[in-house]
Amino acid sequence: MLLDKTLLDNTIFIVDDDENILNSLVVFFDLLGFKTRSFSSAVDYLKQLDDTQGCLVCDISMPDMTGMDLLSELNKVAHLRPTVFITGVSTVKMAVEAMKLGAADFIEKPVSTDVLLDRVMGAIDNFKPSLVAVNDYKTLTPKECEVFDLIIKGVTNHDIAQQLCSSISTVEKHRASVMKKMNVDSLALLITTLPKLKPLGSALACNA
Amino acid sequence: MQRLIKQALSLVLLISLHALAGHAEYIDHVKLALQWKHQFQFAGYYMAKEKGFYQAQNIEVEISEVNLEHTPTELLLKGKVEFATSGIEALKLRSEDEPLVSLYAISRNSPLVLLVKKSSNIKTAADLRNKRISMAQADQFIISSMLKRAGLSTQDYIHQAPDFSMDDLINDRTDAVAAYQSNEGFWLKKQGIEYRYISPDDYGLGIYSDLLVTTEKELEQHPIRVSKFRQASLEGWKYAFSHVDETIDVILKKYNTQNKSREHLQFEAREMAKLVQPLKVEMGSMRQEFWQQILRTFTQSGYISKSVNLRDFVYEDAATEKKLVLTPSQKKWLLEHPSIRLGVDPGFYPIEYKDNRGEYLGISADVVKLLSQQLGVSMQPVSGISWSEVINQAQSNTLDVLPAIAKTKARQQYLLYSKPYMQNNMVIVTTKNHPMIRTKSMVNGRMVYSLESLHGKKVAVTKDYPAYQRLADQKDPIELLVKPTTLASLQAVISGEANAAVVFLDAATALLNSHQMTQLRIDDNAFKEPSHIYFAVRKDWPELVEIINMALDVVGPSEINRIQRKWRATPVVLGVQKKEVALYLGILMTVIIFIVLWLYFLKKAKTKIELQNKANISRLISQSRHVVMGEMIAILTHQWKQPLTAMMLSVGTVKTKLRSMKISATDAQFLNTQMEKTETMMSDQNQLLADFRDFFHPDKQKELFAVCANINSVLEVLQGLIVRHHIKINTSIPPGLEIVGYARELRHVMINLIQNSIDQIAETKVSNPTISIHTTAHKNSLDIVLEDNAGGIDKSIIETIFEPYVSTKSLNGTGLGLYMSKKIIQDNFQGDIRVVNTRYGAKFTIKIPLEGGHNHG
Repeated sequence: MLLDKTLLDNTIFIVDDDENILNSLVVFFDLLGFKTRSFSSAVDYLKQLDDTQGCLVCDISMPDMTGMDLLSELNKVAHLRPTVFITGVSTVKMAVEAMKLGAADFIEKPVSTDVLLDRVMGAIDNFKPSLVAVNDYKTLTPKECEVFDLIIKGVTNHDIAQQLCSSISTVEKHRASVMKKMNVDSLALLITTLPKLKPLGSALACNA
Repeated sequence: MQRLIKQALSLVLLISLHALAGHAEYIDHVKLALQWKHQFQFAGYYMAKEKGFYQAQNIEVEISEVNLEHTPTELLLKGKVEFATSGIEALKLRSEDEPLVSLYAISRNSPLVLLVKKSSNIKTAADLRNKRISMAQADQFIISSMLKRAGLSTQDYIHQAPDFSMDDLINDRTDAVAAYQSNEGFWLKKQGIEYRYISPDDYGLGIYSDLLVTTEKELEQHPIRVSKFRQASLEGWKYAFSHVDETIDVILKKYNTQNKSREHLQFEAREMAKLVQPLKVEMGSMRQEFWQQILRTFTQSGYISKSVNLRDFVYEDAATEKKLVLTPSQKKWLLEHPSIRLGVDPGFYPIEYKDNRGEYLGISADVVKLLSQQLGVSMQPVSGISWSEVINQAQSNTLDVLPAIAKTKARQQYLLYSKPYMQNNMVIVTTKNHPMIRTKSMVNGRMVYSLESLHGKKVAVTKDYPAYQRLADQKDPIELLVKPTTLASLQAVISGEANAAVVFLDAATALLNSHQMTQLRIDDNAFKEPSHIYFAVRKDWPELVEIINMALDVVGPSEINRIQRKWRATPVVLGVQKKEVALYLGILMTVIIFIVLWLYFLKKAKTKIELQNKANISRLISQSRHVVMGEMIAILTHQWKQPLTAMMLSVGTVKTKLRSMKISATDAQFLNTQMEKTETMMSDQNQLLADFRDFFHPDKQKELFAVCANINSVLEVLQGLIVRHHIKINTSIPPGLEIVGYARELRHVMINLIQNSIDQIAETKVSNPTISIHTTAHKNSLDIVLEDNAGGIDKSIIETIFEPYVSTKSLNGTGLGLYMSKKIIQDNFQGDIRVVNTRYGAKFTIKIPLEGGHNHG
């Protein structure tokens, strides 16, 4: 099977406490040409966080730390990957909780490789706008970040200038720069980038 | 009158006896040096004296508070006093080879803390960088360990000599003072100065303190006096903590050299109570592990540079704990034999074995480790020799101990045996497809084991294992095939060289797993009586046998059980199967194992239930069975989902791989078909699991569905079987016919019924086999009718066909299919299902009442 080159730039991060499933998943994604990294516990995954682009494929019921716990931990830090849960015991309640935590998908075990690949590709695809927004956001200077934070809270230029102890014209300049860097031309559009920046966790000033 | 005389006489007698006793008994005078001035910190000793606990032990104690010339430990080492109180510095002294012994520890946390003013902005130890710290020499040890943990070396702060009051701190001549949490804080509080303390405990330096120490010499010369003094002092401590007010009265009256107020002593008592060991722990007791941890901490921080033998430093009172108590001659013997050579079997997994790096591991290796710690001797296996060589060398006393050995008559000639420490039976292993060897049979309802079945057969045994001798001793001839290892014995059975092998159960289980010898079967115990594993000692060392027996007692069976569990649960790591072939094999094997397990479970459930079924099936029993089954299914579905997931993923991977493999189109087609079949089988299994689970735990929703599509999907699933048996299927169902209900359940019922017909057809081998399915809509109900021409159902069971565990099939039926079908139709569709025999075969009619929401198309 030939997959799109850019898709294969993604590393698949696999977390499952069942060694057999972990192995099977690794072999499968390896074969397709993905880079893979496997973790036998959520804690291990947390310990080795970096900013490699990819997708997290994670079991839910695991000892020590469940997939849900992992996701809520990840929500506190910058975690630039979509999360696809695969679970043996699935209930509606669990699925709702996973989605609330921001999971990209929720699959019931057992799962065929076709379905799995489909869902993972979908998750990566849907995550793209987030990545773009995050990369845009990262180009902001610290000052611009502050301005960004205040703009989206609806603070006027006048008040921003007061809060940041600068002149209105400086704030206006920053504001224009923020708009340009975030590729938007109105406040309304700027606010739509906000949910996409959620993966930044506490690195996003207004989340902290 | 006579009575009076008698009483007087007995009184005189009593008095004289007391006087005699008083004269005869010698009163021991000992001195106790305290590490500080009199205060609540030493309450236990005052109370032991006050309440006569010492006196009861014929000890008279002189308690002296600290003097400025000598520390208590100095006095102790100089022989000026017999006992002293001490902080953790006793451990450091011990590491410097001072012969100190710690008798008990009252506190489990360091009472020593750094006091800082609350106004100072110093909140953690790290905040003390470049600050002035005032502390005494003895305190430096623990305080600087704490500072080091906070990242501060001795250069990072200014060390000041203490003024033994709080004046320096109060007047800001210093920033922090090392002080007793239970004492000095009070002065500050009194003067209205807010303070906080930085405790070593917060930096992982939980330590024992308020120790009672003595010297090795004292312990050697007066072991009983030491034990008595210790006991009496502990009694004093217990009394002091349970009678705080009375204790404070005593201190105020007799020991108040510091002129402390009652309030101050009360403060001290409260603070001290926080430091003592938790209530559940016996007052004063010390754990080796905690001492070890303390030692590690201080070794890491560099304050202790030499190793300390904690067994010498930590006193163990033989009377209170289950500890190894050796006689002097036994101790002497151990000293003379500091290193013991072990003869071990390098391939007796998991009992004992050597891994790739030659490390000695296994259950017995762990037990050896414990014994070695208990006895303080080194026990190391002699490397590079096989088990046969071990047996040979054991006879010439070049090996001292064999830690895992079974008992045989021959071996008892040249070895001494300890008591057994674990059971490990010998079992007969045969292949699954040659069940000619049956060692187990029922005689008069009793299980009988017999080796008879082995007569005239070739049996593989391991060289120099006890099975050899025992089988050779059999009356009837058994042809023995001697193999060097257990693995080789098992392989001989696989290759057909031998009909069976007699090996140790643990070893067989482990090897069968690790080498995936799925064709082998562990039949049963080879011998009636259980086999045990012992320590064996060379013949000329009877002393050691006794010592090992005592040590095994101290280790205790529960600990050995724990070790066994650990090793038996250790999963065997398999090599990674990179090659496709291995992958295919792996997948097929797991599928087979899965199916075998499944069938096994069903069979087992059936036999179990059949046994219970002898009596009339009452509704009650079948209900409770229902519950049990439900629980079992719930557990099993969860357990089997995991491997099923792994299998499905593996099969998917193989399919993906096939697309890129350079093989001929026909081969690819063939493999693909096989893989797809496997996938279908697995998803059916999954569906079955789900259905079972749903059936027993109904948690589902009704939906509107088309009956025709529903039944067609069933036929699709069964297509393979239908084609194989050349069955003609006639269906007549209006495509628009929809009903409200549980689609999956109906599907399940239809699978059951059709499968049933197919099986019947396969059994009766009718010509022109036909199954026809049609629906008839009535005013208020819908009939789904299924007919076959397979000859019908046996008259003897047709009445009971829907009862549980009644099967139409001669061999493979579970007897649950039709029962479950009926249950589903009754419970979930409020309908009914009936069966009659027609001229040609069976006719099943499912009647489903129709309510609102349905739609006749």
